[in-house]
Amino acid sequence: MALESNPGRPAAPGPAREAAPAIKGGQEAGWPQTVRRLAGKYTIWLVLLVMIAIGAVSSDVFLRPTNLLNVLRQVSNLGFLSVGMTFVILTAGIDLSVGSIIGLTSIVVAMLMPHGAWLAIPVGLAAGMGIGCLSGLGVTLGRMPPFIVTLGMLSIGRGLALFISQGQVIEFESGFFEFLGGGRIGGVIPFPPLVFLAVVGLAAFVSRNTVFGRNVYAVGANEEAARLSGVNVGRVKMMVYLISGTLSALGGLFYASLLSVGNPTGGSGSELDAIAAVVIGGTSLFGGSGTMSGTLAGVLIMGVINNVLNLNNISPYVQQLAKGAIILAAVYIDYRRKGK
Amino acid sequence: MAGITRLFPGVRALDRVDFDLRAGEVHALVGENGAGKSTLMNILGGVIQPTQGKVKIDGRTTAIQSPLQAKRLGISFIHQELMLAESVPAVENILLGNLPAGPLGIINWKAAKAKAKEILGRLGVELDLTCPVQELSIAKRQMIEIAKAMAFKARIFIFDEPSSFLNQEEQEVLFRLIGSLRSEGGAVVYISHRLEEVFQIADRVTVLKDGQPMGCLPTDQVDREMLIRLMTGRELKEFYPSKEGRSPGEAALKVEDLSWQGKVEGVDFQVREGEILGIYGLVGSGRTELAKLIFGRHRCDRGRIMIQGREVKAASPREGIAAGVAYVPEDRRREGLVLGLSVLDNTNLVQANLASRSLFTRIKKRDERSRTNDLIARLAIRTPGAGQAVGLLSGGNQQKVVLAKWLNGLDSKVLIFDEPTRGVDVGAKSQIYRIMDGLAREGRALILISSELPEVIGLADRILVMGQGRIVEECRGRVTEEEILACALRGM
Repeated sequence: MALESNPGRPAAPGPAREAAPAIKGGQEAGWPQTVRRLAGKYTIWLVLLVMIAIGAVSSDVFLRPTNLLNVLRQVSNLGFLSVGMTFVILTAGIDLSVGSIIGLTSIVVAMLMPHGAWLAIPVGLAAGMGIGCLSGLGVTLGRMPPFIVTLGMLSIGRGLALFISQGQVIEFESGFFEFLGGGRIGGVIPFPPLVFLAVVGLAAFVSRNTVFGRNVYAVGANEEAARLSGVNVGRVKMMVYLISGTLSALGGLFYASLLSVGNPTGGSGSELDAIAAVVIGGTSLFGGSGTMSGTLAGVLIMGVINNVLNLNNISPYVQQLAKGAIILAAVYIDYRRKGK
Repeated sequence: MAGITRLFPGVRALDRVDFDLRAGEVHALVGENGAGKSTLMNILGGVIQPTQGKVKIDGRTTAIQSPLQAKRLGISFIHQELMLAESVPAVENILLGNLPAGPLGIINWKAAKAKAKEILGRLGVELDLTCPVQELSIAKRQMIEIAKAMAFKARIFIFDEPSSFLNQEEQEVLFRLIGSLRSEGGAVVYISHRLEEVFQIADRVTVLKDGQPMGCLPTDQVDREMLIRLMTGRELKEFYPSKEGRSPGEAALKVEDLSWQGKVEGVDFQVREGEILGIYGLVGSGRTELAKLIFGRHRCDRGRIMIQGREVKAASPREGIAAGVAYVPEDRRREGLVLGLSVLDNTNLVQANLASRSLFTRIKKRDERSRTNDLIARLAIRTPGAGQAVGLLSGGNQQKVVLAKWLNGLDSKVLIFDEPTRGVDVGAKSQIYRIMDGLAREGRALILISSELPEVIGLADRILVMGQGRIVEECRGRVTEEEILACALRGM
C-alpha cells in the first residue's frame, strides 16, 4: 500500500481508537460498513458458529450439554499448547517440542507418583520447563533458528521419555490426582476447561496489558527496532519458550491424570494441531500480529471439527483428510478478509 | 495522464491531476509527504487504478490494470526500496523473467551474460555479474535495477527517491545513468525531496500539494524558494532555527580513543550540554557505527565512553538508554519503528521498558494514552489517532513518532540523530530542526550525523568530519560546504 495515501486529516489528537482498523476512513461508515468491519474482525468466530451449526444439523447429540462439555474437556490440552505456541509464534518463532513434552511429563509423573504427588507434579512440570529453557537458550545464546532448535528438542524430549520408560506405558494409581484431568466440579462441569479458560484469560491479559506482552509483539514485528528501543530481546525470547514449555508440561499433567498412565509417545503430533489452532486463530506465522482470543477460537474450531466428525461416525482416516481441508479453508477465508 | 482523481476512504489523495511526460526528458515530481506523488506514480505503474481520469500512452488511452501490464507497456518503476532477488547473481537479476532459453527451458548462460553485459555497457557500468546481489553496494544494486528495466525495453522510468541511500559520488553516477536514459529517448520521472537534485537533473518539474497540481514548469524558470512556496503554500524564510543564545555548558559526553573492528579508529571528541555537534561523513565513514557504539548496540574494542564524567560500559542499547543516551537511527523503517504496531505502542516502547522493573508490570494505559496524545500535539504528528499503525503514516510523521519515543518521559542526556531528515518533506524537516534546537536549549547534548551539508552547517555549533572511521577535521564557526567536502575527501 502506498504510504503517501495516508489521510491528510488535521492533526486533531482526538480520542484514540483502540486498534483502529488500518486504512479505513470511518467517516462515511454507515450500517453496512460497520457490519462488514465487525465481520472482518470476528471472521473466525463466524467460522466457529458455522461449524457449530453444521454439528447441530448433522447430529442431534451435538448440542446436548454433556457433549459440549465433553468437547471443552477434549480441547483443553490442545488449548494449553496453543496458548504457549501463540506467544512463541508472536515473536516470529515456532515451538515443535510441545507434543514431546506431554509424553515426557506424563512419564515423569507416572514414575514418581508412587513416591507421592508432591514430588511427581513439580518434577513433571520442571521437565517441561527444562525443555523450554533449553529451546530458549538455543534460540538466544545459540542464535539458531527456532525451527531447528525445537525440532532437536522434540527429538530429545521424546527420546528421553522413551529412554527412561524403556518404551513402556506406565500405569499408576492416584486418588486426588485423577481429579485434575478427569474431575468434574459438582459432578457436572469438567475441571480442565476451567483451568484452560483461566490460562487463556491470563495470557490475554499478559499479552495486552503488560510490558512483556508489548515486547513480544515488538520483537516479532521488528526485532532490531525493538532492541534499539531498549527491549531485552533475549529475555523476551527466553520467556516465550519457557512459557510454552511450562504450559505443555501442564498439558502433560492433565494427560497423565485423565488416563492414569504415563505414555512416552503421548501427545505425538499435537505440535501440529497447536500450530494449526494458532494460525486458524489469525496469528501471523511471521510474528507481530495475533490475539489470544483468536487462538481460543482456533482451539474451539479444532475441537468442534473432531467432535462433529466423530459423531457422524466418519472413519479416522477420512477425518484426517477432512481436518486438513477445513483448516486450509478457514485460514484461506481469514487471509482473504485481511488482505482486503 | 489527465484529470486523475483517486479517492481513498475518507481522503481525496489526488484531485484532477494532469501530468504529461515526453520522450527524452527528465520530469521531476515534488511535493511534501502525503501530497500524492506516490499515488500518482502507483497509478502509472499499474499498482492502483484511478477513481477518475485517463492515462494515455503514445496518444492512446490505456487502462493499466496491473504492474505486469505496466511493465509490458514499457513502464518501469524503480522503488526506493530496491526489489531484487538478494541471494541471486547480478546477471539473473538483470534478466529476471527475460533469460534467453532454449526450447526445453534450458538457459543459455553465455547469451545471458553477453546480453547483460551489453545492457550494462550502454549504461557505461561495469560490475561482477556472478556476484550475488546482496554483496554489492546499494548504488550497484540500483544500477542492476535500472539495467533490469532496460532489459524489459522500458521507455518510461519512474525513480522514487533514488538518491536517499547514495553518497555524493554514487549520486553522480546515477545522474550520468539517468542522462544516458534520456539521450536514448527514455522518459524519466524523478521523485525527490532534495530540491538541489531537481535543479541538477530535471528538465521540467511538477509540484503537488495535498493531491492538487500546483503547476508544471521548466526548471530554468523556477528557483528553490518558489518551489518550496508551491509545495508548502508558505514562505520558509527561517528554514534553520537561529543558533543565537545557545550556550554550551559542561561536557555531557566524552569519547576517548574509541575503536571497533576497524570501522571506527581511535575517535576522540566531546559534546557539551546545550550543544549540537554535527558529524559529517559519507555512508561507510563509520559514523553510524560510532553512534551505535555510544548507544551500546556494539561493544568497543578499545577506548572509553564517559557520560557526565562517569565511565559507561553499555553492553546493550538497554544499558545505553539507562545511561542517558537516545538514538534516532538512520533507517527508521528497519531500526526506528515497529511499523505494524500503533503510534501509541511505538511511542511507549522505550519508556515502558525503562520504567518498569518487572516485565509483568501492568501497563497504565490511561497514562500512556495521555502522554502519547500530548506528544502527538506537541510534535504536530499528523495521524487519525494514537491507535493508527505507524506504517501507514508518511515519512515525516513516522520520523516524528521516533522522536516522540525518545521524548516520552525520558531524561536523556545525549541524543544522537542519525540522518534525522532522510526521506522527510520540507515542512517536517524544519519542524524537526526546531525540535532539535529546543532540546539543545533545554541543556541536552545533541549529535547530528548527516550527509546533507546544508543541514549540518545550518544546525550544528561545531562540525566533525569523519572518513574511514576517523575524525578527519573539526570545524568551528562559519564554514562553507566546499571546505567541508574538501576535508571529507581528504579523509577517504
